[in-house]
Amino acid sequence: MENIDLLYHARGESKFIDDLRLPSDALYAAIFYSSTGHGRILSLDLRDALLMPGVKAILTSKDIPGENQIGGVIADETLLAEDEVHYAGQPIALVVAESPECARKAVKKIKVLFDELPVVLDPREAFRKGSFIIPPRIFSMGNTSLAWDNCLVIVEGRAETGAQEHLYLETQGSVAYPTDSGSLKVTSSTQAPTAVQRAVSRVTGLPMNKIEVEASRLGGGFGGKEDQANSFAAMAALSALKLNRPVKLVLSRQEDLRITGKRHPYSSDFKLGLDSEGRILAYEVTFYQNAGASADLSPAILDRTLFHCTNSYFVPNVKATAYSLRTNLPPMTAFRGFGAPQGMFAIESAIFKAAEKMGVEPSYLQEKNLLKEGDAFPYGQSAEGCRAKESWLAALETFETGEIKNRIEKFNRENQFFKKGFAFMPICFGISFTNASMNQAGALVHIYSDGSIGISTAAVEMGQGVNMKLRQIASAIFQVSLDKIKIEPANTTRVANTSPTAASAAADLNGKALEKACNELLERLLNAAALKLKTEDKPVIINEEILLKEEKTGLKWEDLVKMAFDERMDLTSHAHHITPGIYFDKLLNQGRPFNYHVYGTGVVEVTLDCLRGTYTVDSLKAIHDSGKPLNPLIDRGQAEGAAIQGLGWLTMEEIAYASKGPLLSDSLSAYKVPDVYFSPGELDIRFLKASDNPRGIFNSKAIGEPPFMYAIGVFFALYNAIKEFRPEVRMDFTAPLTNERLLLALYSKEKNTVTA
Amino acid sequence: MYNPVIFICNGKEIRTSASPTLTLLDFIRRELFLTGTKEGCREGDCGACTVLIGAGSDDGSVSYSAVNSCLIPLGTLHGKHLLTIEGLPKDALSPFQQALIKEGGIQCGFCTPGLIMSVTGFLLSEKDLSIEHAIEAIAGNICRCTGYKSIKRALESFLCDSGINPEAGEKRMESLIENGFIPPYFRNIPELLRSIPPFAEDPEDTKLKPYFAGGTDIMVQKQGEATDINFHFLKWSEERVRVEDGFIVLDAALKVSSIMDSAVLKTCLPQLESCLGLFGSRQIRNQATLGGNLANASPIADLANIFLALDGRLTLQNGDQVREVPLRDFFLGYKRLSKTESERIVKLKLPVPESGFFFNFEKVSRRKHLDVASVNSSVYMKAIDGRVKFIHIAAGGVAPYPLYLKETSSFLEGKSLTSGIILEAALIAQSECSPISDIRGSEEYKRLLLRQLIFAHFMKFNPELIYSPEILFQAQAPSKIF
Ligand SMILES: Cc1cc2nc3c(=O)[nH]c(=O)nc-3n(C[C@H](O)[C@H](O)[C@H](O)COP(=O)(O)OP(=O)(O)OC[C@H]3O[C@@H](n4cnc5c(N)ncnc54)[C@H](O)[C@@H]3O)c2cc1C
Ligand code: FES
Ligand code: FES
Repeated sequence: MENIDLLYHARGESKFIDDLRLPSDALYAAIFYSSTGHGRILSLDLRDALLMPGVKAILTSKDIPGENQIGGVIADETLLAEDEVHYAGQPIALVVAESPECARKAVKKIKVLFDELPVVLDPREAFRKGSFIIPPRIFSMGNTSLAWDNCLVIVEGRAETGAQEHLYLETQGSVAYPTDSGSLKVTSSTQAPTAVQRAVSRVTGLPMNKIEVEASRLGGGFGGKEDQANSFAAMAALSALKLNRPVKLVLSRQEDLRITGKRHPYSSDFKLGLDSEGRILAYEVTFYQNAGASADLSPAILDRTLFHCTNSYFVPNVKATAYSLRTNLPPMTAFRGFGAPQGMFAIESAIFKAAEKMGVEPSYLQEKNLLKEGDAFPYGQSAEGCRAKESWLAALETFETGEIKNRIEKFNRENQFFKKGFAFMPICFGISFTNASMNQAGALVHIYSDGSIGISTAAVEMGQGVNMKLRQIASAIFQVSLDKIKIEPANTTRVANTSPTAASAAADLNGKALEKACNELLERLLNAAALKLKTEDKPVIINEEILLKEEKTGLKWEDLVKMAFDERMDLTSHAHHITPGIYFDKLLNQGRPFNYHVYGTGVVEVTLDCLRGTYTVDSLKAIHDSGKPLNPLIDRGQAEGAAIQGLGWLTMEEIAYASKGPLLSDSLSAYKVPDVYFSPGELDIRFLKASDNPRGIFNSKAIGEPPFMYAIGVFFALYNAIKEFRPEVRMDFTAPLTNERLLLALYSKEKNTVTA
Repeated sequence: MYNPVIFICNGKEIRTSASPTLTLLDFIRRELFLTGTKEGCREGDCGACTVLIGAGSDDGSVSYSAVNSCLIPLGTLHGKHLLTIEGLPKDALSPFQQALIKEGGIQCGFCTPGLIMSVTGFLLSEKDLSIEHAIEAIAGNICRCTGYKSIKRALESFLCDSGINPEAGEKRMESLIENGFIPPYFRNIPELLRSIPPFAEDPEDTKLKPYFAGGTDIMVQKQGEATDINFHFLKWSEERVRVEDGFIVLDAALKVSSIMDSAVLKTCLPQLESCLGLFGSRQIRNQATLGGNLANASPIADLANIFLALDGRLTLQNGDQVREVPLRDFFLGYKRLSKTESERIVKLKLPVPESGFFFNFEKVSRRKHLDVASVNSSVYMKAIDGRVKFIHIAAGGVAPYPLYLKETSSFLEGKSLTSGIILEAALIAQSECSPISDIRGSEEYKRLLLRQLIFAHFMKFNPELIYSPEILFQAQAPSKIF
C-alpha cells in the first residue's frame, strides 16, 4: 500500500525546520564550542564578537535562568560549559544575531583560553582510571565457572566496533517562539517532544505547561534525535526567552558532526566454550562501552547490549559484564539497534573463532545453537513464538544457500586475485523499551463534523512511515478512506507525557492507543446509528456505508457523523495504552523486559579484490519475521534501509578523532556512507510467511531496528574471503573493516597476529 | 549594490542585485523562498541541493546539467535557466515521482527533491537512457534512509515504460513535456533566455582576485565566506577538445563531463571515459574544470594524475604573454606551482598516443564513487615484444603534490618486463614517494597501496607478468623499507 504522505515529499513541499518561514523579527543562533577534548576554561573573551554589527547577544551558562542541566537519565550534562570542557565540540556560548552567517562569523571571533587537561579517548583506559558512568552491570545465568570443565573447545578473544555517525540528512535544529503569557512554543527536529519539553523547562525554569513542543517531521533521526535534540531546542528556547524574539538554531553539517554523539564504540573480551558436538555450553563476555563525556542514554544502551549478548542462540551458562565508561568524546547516544549490534558482534566473533578452531563452518555452529521455543534468555524471559530455526530454514531454502556455496567454491578455485566469501547472520531482537515505564502511549482522535478525522499521538514521523501506519489503523477501524484521515504533528499540548519515537516501538505503542481510541468512538457512533435505525442489532460500517444485517441502510459515514454531532455526542476520544505484562528487576536482572522478539536470518555475499583490498557486497538477503506486516512496502523499505546502514557501520563508516579529542572525520568528504553503487546488487529481504504476532498491533511486528543487524554478516563474509586468499591469516575482530584494514590483512607479514 | 544578475527561475524571470558571490543555494532558499532545495552538507557531497542549470546555445537549444547549488555563486547564473523542484509540473506528479512513491523510494523525504532533480537532468541530457546511466546520474545523491534499492526499483519501473523519445534533443524535450516530466513552459525557455541582455560587466578591476572556474574547490575552501570574497570569474571563448599538430589540445575550461563526452578523446584515448567515471559525482563533473583541477594541485587530483602520465603540457597566459610548461615541471610543492598568481592555465596539450599504447588508471578510495583517492596512479606506456619503449607513471596521495614517478619510469624504460623487474620498479617507487598518515589512510597503507596499484597496472597490461599471488607475498613489504 502506497504511503500517500510521500506526495508532499516528492514535490519538495514538506517543511523541515530550516524551511519554516519565520516572522521578520526572528534571530539566528550559532554555537561556540570547545576545540579541545578536556580543559579548564581560563578566560572567555567575547568582546570582538559582541562588537560585530548584527550581533544581538552572546549567552553563556551565566545567562541560564533555570538549571544548567540537560542530563535526562543522569544529571551530568550542562547545556553550556561552566568552568571546564569535557569534549571537543562541547557548547560553551551561544551567539544570537540577525543572520546565521553573522552569528557564525561572530563565533569565530570568540577567544577562549584553556588549561589543557589529560584527554582519555579509550574506554579501557577510562576503565583503568575508574571513570564509570554507572556501576558495572552483570547478567548471568547458570554457572560459567563450572561449565568450562565440560567444554571441549574454548576460545577467547577481543571484538571491537567503532563509532557511527547518524548522518540524518536533516541536521539538528529548532525554532523557539515566545508566545502569550510568558510561554514558549518550540518546534524541534526531535524524536522526543516530551524530552525536549522537560529539557526546556529545566533550563528556562518555566513549568512544562508553558512550553509547547511540536515535531512535524524529521529528515531522518535513527536515534540521533532521541536525546540529543534536547540541547539544541533548549538553546533556541533560552535565546528566545532572553531576547523575547523568535530564534532559530539549525546546525551546519560540520557543527552537527563535531558536536553530536554517535553510536557507542565498544571494546569487548569474549570467552566461548563448546562441547564436541558444537553445542555452546558457556559464554563470558565483558563489554567496555565508550560512553563519551556524559551519560546521555548510555545506561539504557548498555542494558540492551546485555539483553542481546547471546543473539539468537541458547546458551545455558552466561556471564556478561558491562561497563559504561566516561571518556573525552561527545556523549554517545542512541542509534538504530541501541547497543544490541555491538553485543551481537561479539558473540558472532566468538562463534567464528570457535568454528575456525574446530575446523567447521561458522554456520554449522550458528544453526546448531539457535534458540528453540521455551529456551531461556540470560535475563529470565523465555523464547515464545520463537522463529529462529524457522527463518534459518526458510533462508536455506529460499536463497538456495547450498547453490551459493557451490558457486562460490567454483569461483574461488578459478580466480586467484578475486575471492568470494559469504556468511549467515541470524538475529533476535527484543521489542519494548527496557525501561518498563516508557512503554506507554496516548492517542487523541477528533472526528470533525464533516466526517474528516484528525489524529494526534506521540509518534514522530521521521521517514519510517508511522503516520501511514496510524492512518491505516484508523481507516481499518472506521472503514473510511485514507484521505479522510490526517495525522497531526506530534505536539505536547495534544498528547502529553509521551515516550520518544524509538525502540522500533512507535507504531506498536501508538497504534495500540489509537486502536483503543478509535474503537471507543466507533462504539459511540454505532450506538447512535442503532438508535437512529431503531434497531437492537448492531450496525457495522463497511467502506463508509452503514450496514445492518449485511444490508445497506442508505446511511453514509458523513450522515452518521453529522447525526452524532446534532445529537451532541462527543466526537473526540483519547486513549492511553501500556504494554501489558512486562517488568524487569534491575537488581536481579531478571524479568520479562520484552513484549516479544523479532527473528530472522540474513545471508551476505561479498567479492574481495585481493590485489587492491577493495570489495563489493554482492548480495544481502534475509528472511525476516515481521509478523503480519502492517504495510509490507514500508516495512521492506525499513528493512532495506536498516541493512544498508548496518553495512556502512561494518565497512566504510569510520570515525576518527585526533589525540586531543577533535573529530577528524568532520565533513562528508571525510566520512563516507553507502551510496547507490555500494548498495548490493541483490538486496532481497523477504518476510517469513505464515507468521503472526498477537502481541503486536494487527498482528504485526516492529521493524525499524532489527534488520540493521543482518549486516553483521558482511564482516564475516569478508573475513572468509580473506581466508580464501590467505588461509593462514588470523585477524582480530575489529570493525569497521575498511579498505585499509583489508589490504593490510591481505599482505601482512606476521601471519598470526594481524590487527585488522 | 551589484550589477543585476538576470536569469529564469523555473518559468519566471528573476532580476537581483544580490552579491554575485552569494551561494545559489542560499539565494534559492532565502530570497526566493523555494525551500524544496535542501542543504545537507554545503560541500558537494550529498546532492540534497541539486538543481538543473540550462545554458542556451547559438542554435537556440538549451542544454541542462545537474549541479550542486551549494557550490555555485549566484553571479554565474546570468542568462541561464534555473530549474528547482518547484518548477516541475504542478498538476500531476511526474512518472518518476509516482514510481518513487509506488516503490517506497521515499522515506524521510529530505534527499528526495535533489534526487528527482538529478533524474530530471538525466532525462534532459543523457544520450543513453539506460538504467546504468540513470544510476550513474544519482550517484551524487546520498540517501540515508532507503538503502537505494527502492530508488533503483523506481528507476527501473519507469524507464522501461516511459514514452520518452530516446533521441536526445528537441524531440526528447517534447516527449518529456508530453509525458509530464517537465512542464510546458520549457518550450518558451530559449526565447526567454535570448531576451536577457548580456551581463553588465564592471570595468576590469585591477585588484588580483582568485580565479574562479567551476568553483568545486574554491567554494568548499571558502566555506561560509563566499559572500565576502570576490572572484575573478574566468570567461572563455572556447571549451573544446581538438587535435592540432600531433597534439590533443584541451581547453582549460573543459568540464570533466565534457572531457568524458569528447568524441576526439573517445577515439584517441578510449579508456579515459570510464576512468573519469570515478571522478566526483555527475553534479561535480558537470562543474569541475580541467584548469581548476590542475591549478588546485591537490595531491590526489585525478586529472593531474592522469595527465602527468599522458605527458601533458600546459599553456599559461598572462595578458599577452603566453608560455608552455610541461605538467611534470608544474607542481613544485604543497600547493606550489610553477606559475605566477596572475597567470592562468588556458590549455593542456597531450601528444596523440601512438598506436599500440597502453594506458591505465587506478584509484582506491574509502568509497569507490564520490570520494577522493587514498592513492591513485596512472600509467602510459608502450612495449614492443615485452620491451618497454617508453613509460610514464604518476601517483597521487603519496606526496605533497601530484607526483610523476620519474625514477621508476626511467628505470623501466628499455627494460624487458618480468615480474622481477616490476617488483624492483615498485621498490623504486617507494623511494620516490613520501606519503603521510591522514584521514585517507596511514602511511603504511598508502605505501602498500601504491605498490599494489603499480602491480595492478602491469597485471592489466599482461596478466602473465604476475601470474600468482605468491609473487606478491614474496615482494618486500613497503613499510619495512625505511
Ligand atoms: C564533492 C567533490 C568531489 C570531488 N571529487 C574529486 C575527484 O574525484 N577527483 C578530483 O581530482 N577532484 C575532485 N574534487 C575536486 C575538484 O572538483 C576538482 O579539483 C576540480 O577539477 C576543480 O575545478 P574547478 O573548476 O571547480 O576549480 P575552482 O574551484 O574554480 O578552482 C580551483 C583553483 O584553481 C584556480 N583556477 C581555476 N581555474 C584556473 C585556471 N584556468 N588558471 C589558473 N588557476 C585556475 C582557482 O583560482 C582555484 O584556486 C571534488 C570536489 C568536490 C567538492
Ligand atoms: S548541500 Fe550537500 S551537495 Fe550541496
Ligand atoms: S529518504 Fe531520508 S535521506 Fe533519502
